[in-house]
Amino acid sequence: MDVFEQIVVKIIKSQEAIIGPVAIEQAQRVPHLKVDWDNQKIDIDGDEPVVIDDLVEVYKELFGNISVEVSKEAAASLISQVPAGQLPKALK
Amino acid sequence: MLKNNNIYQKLIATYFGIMVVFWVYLFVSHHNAGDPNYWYSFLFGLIPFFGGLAGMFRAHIWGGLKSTLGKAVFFVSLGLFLWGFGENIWSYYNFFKHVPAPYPSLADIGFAPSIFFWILGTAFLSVATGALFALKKSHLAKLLVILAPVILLIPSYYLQIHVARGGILVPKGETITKTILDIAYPFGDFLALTFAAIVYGLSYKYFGGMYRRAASFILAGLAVMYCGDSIFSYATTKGTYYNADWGDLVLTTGLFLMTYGILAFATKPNVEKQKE
Repeated sequence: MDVFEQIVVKIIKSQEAIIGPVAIEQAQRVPHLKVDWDNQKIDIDGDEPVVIDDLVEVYKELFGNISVEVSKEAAASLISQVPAGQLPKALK
Repeated sequence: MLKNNNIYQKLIATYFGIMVVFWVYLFVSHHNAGDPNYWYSFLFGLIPFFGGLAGMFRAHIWGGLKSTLGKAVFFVSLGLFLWGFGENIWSYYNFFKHVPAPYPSLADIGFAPSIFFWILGTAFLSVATGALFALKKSHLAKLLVILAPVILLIPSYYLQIHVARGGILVPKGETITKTILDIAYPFGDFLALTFAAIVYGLSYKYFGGMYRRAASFILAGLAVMYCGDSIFSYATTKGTYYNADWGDLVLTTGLFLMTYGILAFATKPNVEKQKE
């Protein structure tokens, strides 16, 4: 699992702790992101930073800036592993 | 306003509208005793009773007791249900025992714990709205948490003890039950109001999106319930209370606001519809 997929897992897990199964349902709405949560499988078939931005955006639509802050906190430990210039805007 | 609401919210808003019309009818026709007033008390109690039931049963959408928001929805709903249950018992005393204001009574088994569960639910809600996050990040937020109870305590003490209870919190010769309730109600109301003010203040910067309005309704409902309980205490102290008085209209409004807010969480989020 590459660093972007790990970030997606961390974000969904952090949101799931707050909003329950709605976090997974919302993640499944994101284009180019396949979520098989039962098997903890994530597949990104597009521009990875953009997909993560879109993921954060679906949570922001529900609860606003707190969703962005929670996502940032969740991804914080992995940010250093993201290749230069590919950091998702939502996590800056 | 009703366009983006779910079916539960539309039903409860319509019912609230009918209750307001009923109250206006009682007011203009100078009804202050008897069955029509008892009916009003019974019928407005159904708002939190059924709203709370729906909220508890639908909390599973948000993970029930396994997630923070699920717990918030469940406990606020449980508080609403208990209040409605208390009102049902109140109505039993009205209709079958012919007691217009049964206090203390078995109705308090529903009323008294409802405030505790509202505070507990609001505490969990504070995580979802970002209040707890703000508290961790900002010194100003910490200052608000310290100052809010102090600022609210003085006017609250004046309103709840001097105005509403004539300066006497526990009159002489009261039973143990009434003494406990006389202290517990104003203290619980003060805590709920303080919690609502702190959560609203701390969440302001972070909370948004399609559930901002729902959370605001819940917190506003807590504040209105504080006013309603204070009016009830004032009216019972002065001996002017009757079922369906203006204090009951304030309580109806407070319960409606909380129920309406919590019912926003009774269906899965429909982001596409919200954008329309």
